[in-house]
Amino acid sequence: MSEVYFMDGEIVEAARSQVYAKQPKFRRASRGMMLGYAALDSLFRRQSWLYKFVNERRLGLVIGTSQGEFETTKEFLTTLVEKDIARPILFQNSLHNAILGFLSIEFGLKGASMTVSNQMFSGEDAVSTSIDFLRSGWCDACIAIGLDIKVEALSPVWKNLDPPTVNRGEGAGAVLLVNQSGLSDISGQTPLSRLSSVNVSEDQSPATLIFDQYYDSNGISVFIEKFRNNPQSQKVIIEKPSGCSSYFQLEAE
Amino acid sequence: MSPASPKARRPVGISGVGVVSPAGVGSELFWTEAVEGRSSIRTDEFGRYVGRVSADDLSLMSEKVLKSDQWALVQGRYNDLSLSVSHTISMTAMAEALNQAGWSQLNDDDGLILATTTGLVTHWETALANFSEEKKDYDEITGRMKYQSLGCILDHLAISQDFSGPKLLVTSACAAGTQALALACEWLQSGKVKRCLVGGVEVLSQLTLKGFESFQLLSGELARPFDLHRSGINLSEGAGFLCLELSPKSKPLAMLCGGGIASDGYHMTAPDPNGLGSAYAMRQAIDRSGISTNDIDWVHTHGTGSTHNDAAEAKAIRAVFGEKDIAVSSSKAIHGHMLAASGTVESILCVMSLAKEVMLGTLNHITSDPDISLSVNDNTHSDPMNYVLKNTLGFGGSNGAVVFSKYGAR
Repeated sequence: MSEVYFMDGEIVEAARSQVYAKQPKFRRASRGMMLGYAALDSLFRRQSWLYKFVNERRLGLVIGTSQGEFETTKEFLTTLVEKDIARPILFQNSLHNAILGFLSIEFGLKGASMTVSNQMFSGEDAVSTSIDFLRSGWCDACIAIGLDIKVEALSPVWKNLDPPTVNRGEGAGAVLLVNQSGLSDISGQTPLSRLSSVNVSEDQSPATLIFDQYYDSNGISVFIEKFRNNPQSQKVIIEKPSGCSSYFQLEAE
Repeated sequence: MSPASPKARRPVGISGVGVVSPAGVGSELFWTEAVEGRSSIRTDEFGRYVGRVSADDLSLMSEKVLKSDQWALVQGRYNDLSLSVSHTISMTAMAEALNQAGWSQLNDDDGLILATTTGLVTHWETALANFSEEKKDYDEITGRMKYQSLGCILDHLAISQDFSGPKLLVTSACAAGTQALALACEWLQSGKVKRCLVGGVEVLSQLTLKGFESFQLLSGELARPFDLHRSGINLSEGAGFLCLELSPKSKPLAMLCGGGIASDGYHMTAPDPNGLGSAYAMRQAIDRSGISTNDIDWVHTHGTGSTHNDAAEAKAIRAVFGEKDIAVSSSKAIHGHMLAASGTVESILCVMSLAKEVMLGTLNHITSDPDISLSVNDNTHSDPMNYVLKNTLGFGGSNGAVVFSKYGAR
């Protein structure tokens, strides 16, 4: 089985995405799209070789999100009820997959792509699905994005739902993964690490997954942060509320 | 660009299927309606042509799901909100598939992949639309929001099976079901799992009904896939599940050979007019199955009946098959467009077509469109096919395709 390399990662906070809000090309974009754009843009600036060495059809994209475009969905439904108007732009942006559509247009990504959603493990699922894409041969390089937004209007509701230790945030993290066999064509690029597995450990008791949800699909962000702080790490364990955890197995280069 | 050609891997057996559709409960009923060309699309109170699971069927299914899952109930793992339409129809379709395959339940070395776009939206859409901070109606909205995240529906299915193996929820719009099947094929062929249950579920909601209406995509009549006078889609709801395994204990219904996934990178809602992404996904699926376009006997299309989808898909199919006179059909006028679930539900028709050696026709294709250079198959007839290609396209430029074969075709 081929190895998968973790080449780079980029994390963006909500504030950084706001610089796009005033630009005309983002006039019809949701905040989720702007967050995803900010993470991907930062990654591509450092890894500009990607466009040269990887064909657009061989560069994959997997987005993991729990909340997705929930904020836009709320706006669509509120407008529908209050004004009896169904706004097409809000409908098209209200589907989870809209972020992927926007990013693939903006960055010319035409390879294998998928949007996945698994509550607090959405980011981890994006990474593991990217590995599946690479190992299956659907692509030579794949970008996994973990992304979630905070719906401010519903803050009191989340406060009712979340355990006291959970402080919801929002942000996006993007990780570039490259297949080992594809590396021979990429001269001068040094992978940060070899990623050999991603495991999710879920305690399926109802108190864990059903009632104590923690929506921030931040697995990728934590993974990048922990790796950057300690590049010799052999494993990264991300603890989730109520005893759930995910596990990234890394081998230092 | 032609996809990189990987070595074809061992096909995967399909040992059980389960369906809930507007026609009713069960795959055989669904198949019979398709073969006999009976549409389950009806007009609703607003005059829209939609496919809706009947209230009587839902009531019976709910009762059965609750009775059959006493263990989960006793454990307190359900509450009133768990039995949503999506949960009820998923559990019912899943039970049929598992029963047909002879799987007592999922083991932890199995996999579970579910496709849905708006599966849980009916739980909360009314409460959310009416919510305002001023009114402080937090209790109502909090109860609803517990189940807002799409992942909840996957968790509920996993809990009902006491399953803690690999699971994934794919939500790539209307391509999700086919993408889920393509990925499941990879999970099995790579040894990640031994068996895999793949499902798709979608329910009618205000979000989708009003949303598609706002795009003027809803047809004011029964959908006419690939027809010159096609005017849009008929939204629908349902669930379809398939049991996949590398080493089935008995003769499988059919085989899943390989899949392809690609993105258009073109438009948020419209497909690439030349169908480039869709064509790439189809070529990938064929290549990864270790066959050529000459081996494909039939293409079961996405064929929604919308002007742009059908035109783009026709170009994609023509680009893949060149001069070959390939037979194509769409079954959307039979059961409607189930969005993310369409990939799994329509794949079940492909599987049954191979098993029963019947090529389905295209209901309501009456007048050929000169701009669609395809041989649209109008009539259902006997045909001992070997290979069938299932294709789907979705919002966001998402595409997916899979190849099925008759058992023993290679």
